[in-house]
Amino acid sequence: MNVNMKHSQITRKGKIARLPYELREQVNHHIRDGAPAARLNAILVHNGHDAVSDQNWTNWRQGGYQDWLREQAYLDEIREEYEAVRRQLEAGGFSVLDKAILDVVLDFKSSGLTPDKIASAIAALKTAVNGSERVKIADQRTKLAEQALAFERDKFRFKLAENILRFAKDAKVQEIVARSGSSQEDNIKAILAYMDQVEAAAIKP
Amino acid sequence: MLSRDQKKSLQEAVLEFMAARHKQTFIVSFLASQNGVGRLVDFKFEDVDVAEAIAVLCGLGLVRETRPWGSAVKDYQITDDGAKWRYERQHET
Repeated sequence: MNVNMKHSQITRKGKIARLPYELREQVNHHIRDGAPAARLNAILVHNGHDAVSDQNWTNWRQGGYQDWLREQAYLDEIREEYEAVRRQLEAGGFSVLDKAILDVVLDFKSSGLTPDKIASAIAALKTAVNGSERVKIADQRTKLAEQALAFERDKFRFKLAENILRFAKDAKVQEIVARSGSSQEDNIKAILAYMDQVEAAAIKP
Repeated sequence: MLSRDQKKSLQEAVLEFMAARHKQTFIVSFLASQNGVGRLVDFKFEDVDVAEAIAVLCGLGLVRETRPWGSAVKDYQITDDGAKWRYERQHET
């Protein structure tokens, strides 16, 4: 039964229809078991209500009770369908306790899909989400690494410019650069050695 | 007749209400009353709407049916999974 039970149900206003939900459930179960009107009235009286006429019971059996039977079939169907969805999901390693999954599952009845289709759709969706999250995390890591690299490069360039200015004015460096006959490599080595001396002197207390 | 969103809200309200009282069992008419989930949602609903919400939750294993011995009336109680659902919701923010 794929039709919502409320579509086919009239709001009944008879004496039995106005009884509390659980008492109506009780008498309907007894009607299903074949209880006669006298037994049904005894249940009403036992629960503090007045007995009703045989005609009331006849009307109920033809109307409200038929609605109840349809309602029971509908509720059984819903329960079985959701149970099937849950089983399918659990078989795929998913749980209805997952917020995103439960949100989709609770909407499932209006989707018109069968339980196995909704379960595989959720599983596919979940896998895709997990996959795209992994890609997003990897992207973020790459971006951070690039930013760190750019920062190191800026720091290095700044330090270099600072040192060029500092050593360009240094008499010892000027002397090394002015030496005739030395190769560029020798000059670089001499400057680096001088830089080591300067740094060592700066560290000394 | 309830809309799709109202049905979903009612299902969550029933689950929330029962999970907060996980040791108790409830009948449909109590859940449907103002002392039950009536105060948790802002729309009108009937006993049968609660019965439908419970059917969904039972199917999902979040609520179970407990019928007292000799009674034709069904009681319902939250399952361990239902209680876990509420715990996770409370701690997810």
